[in-house]
Amino acid sequence: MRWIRFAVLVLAASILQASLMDVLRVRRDVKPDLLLVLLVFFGSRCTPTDGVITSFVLGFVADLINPIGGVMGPRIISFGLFGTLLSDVQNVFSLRRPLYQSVAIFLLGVLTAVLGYLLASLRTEGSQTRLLTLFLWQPLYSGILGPLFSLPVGWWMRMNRKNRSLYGHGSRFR
Amino acid sequence: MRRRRANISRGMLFTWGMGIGLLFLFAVPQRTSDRIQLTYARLFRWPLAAGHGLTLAARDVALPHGVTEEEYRELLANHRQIQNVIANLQAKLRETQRQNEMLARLRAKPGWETVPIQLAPVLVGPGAEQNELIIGRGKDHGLAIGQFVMSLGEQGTLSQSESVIGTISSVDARTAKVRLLTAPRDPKAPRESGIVVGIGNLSVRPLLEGLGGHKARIPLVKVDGNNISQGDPVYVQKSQGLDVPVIAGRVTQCVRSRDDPMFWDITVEPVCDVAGLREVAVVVPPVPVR
Repeated sequence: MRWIRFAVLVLAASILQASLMDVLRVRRDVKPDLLLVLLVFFGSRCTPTDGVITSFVLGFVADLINPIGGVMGPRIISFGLFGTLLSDVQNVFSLRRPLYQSVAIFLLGVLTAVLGYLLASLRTEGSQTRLLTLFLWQPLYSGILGPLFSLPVGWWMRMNRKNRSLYGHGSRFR
Repeated sequence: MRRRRANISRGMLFTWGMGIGLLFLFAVPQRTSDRIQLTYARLFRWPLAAGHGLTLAARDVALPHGVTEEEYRELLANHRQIQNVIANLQAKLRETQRQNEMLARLRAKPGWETVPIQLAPVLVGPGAEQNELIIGRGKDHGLAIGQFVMSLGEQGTLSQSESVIGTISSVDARTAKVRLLTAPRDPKAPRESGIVVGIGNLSVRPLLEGLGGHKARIPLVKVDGNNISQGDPVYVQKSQGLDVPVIAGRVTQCVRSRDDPMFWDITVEPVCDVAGLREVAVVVPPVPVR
């Protein structure tokens, strides 16, 4: 895993998500979730250990730029949990095909949103979030556009080669 | 061996990650979370602001699906025009509400409940001669020659009593001239063209004639049996839609006529300063249906 490239990528994604993603906004507040796309990307292509780290880091950044109900923590937990599960599942299912990626992004989007919302509800009362957007439209939109981001992200992370062994290289700090 | 170590470290990482998440969720105060978020925003202020600016710029030029740029410009122009129309209508609404309030205040006064009134803006003031006004209502609004014109209660800083100030002397489709009570009588017009008035509690019903110079006179009132003094009110009598006598002025001078000492020579001054009027009320009697 090339961690410096990962850090740059996550930083750029967070800035894009917080600002430029509004260009792709449909309806009033539905826009693709880049960090969710990255979660699926790294969850499906990293080693399981790296998958855990990337999931929690992406959850932390998601909480930083767009916390549910203004509370930090729910996305760290939900991204961390489902990202870790995804990195386990990748040994069974290959998520390299765009259709599978789309489905994975949508499902993970729904699951992380529901868990995040429930966790945020423990801290805040009556969050004013638009639930249908959070639980359905945003994951669906991210699922549709998500595979498009995989190619440039894979190129940047040097992860587009298919024959890379998951356990052969281990974690590398580059 | 290597695999086992990796699994342990993975489990530890997961535990640490969940612990940090739970810590943020339950233990870290909201103020600290806010501070972390604000620090991020401050550190990356420039790219965030640039991205936001680009988003706004892109949204400005982004055309809706199926709309050409020319159509979009036309729609924008229409939109601006509609906004102007709305602004004008809102101003008109406010004006109508103000007039309604004024009329409601007038109608709340005893004797004025059933008097049919049409409000009219003063377009041209009385000028130096104080003979005429031009108002912004005409035939289209039911105005006709001879109808009484009154001043209204409060207008801006002025507090005018409701009083008759004149009659409609000529009328157009949307404008009309008001001949003030103080306008001198046309020498060719018959004497009966004056306005029938009452003075104080007296039962006589003489005619009021204008003298010019903000004054009017009442001729041919017999001295015997008619006690008149300075300050007595002069009323326009019930007619032309007026259900009650309405004050027009006050007696300022009452002396025996030099021509015929059997009669009073009465000078009247209107109670209303017409120069300060912005709006008047025209008594418009309903047209009888045949």
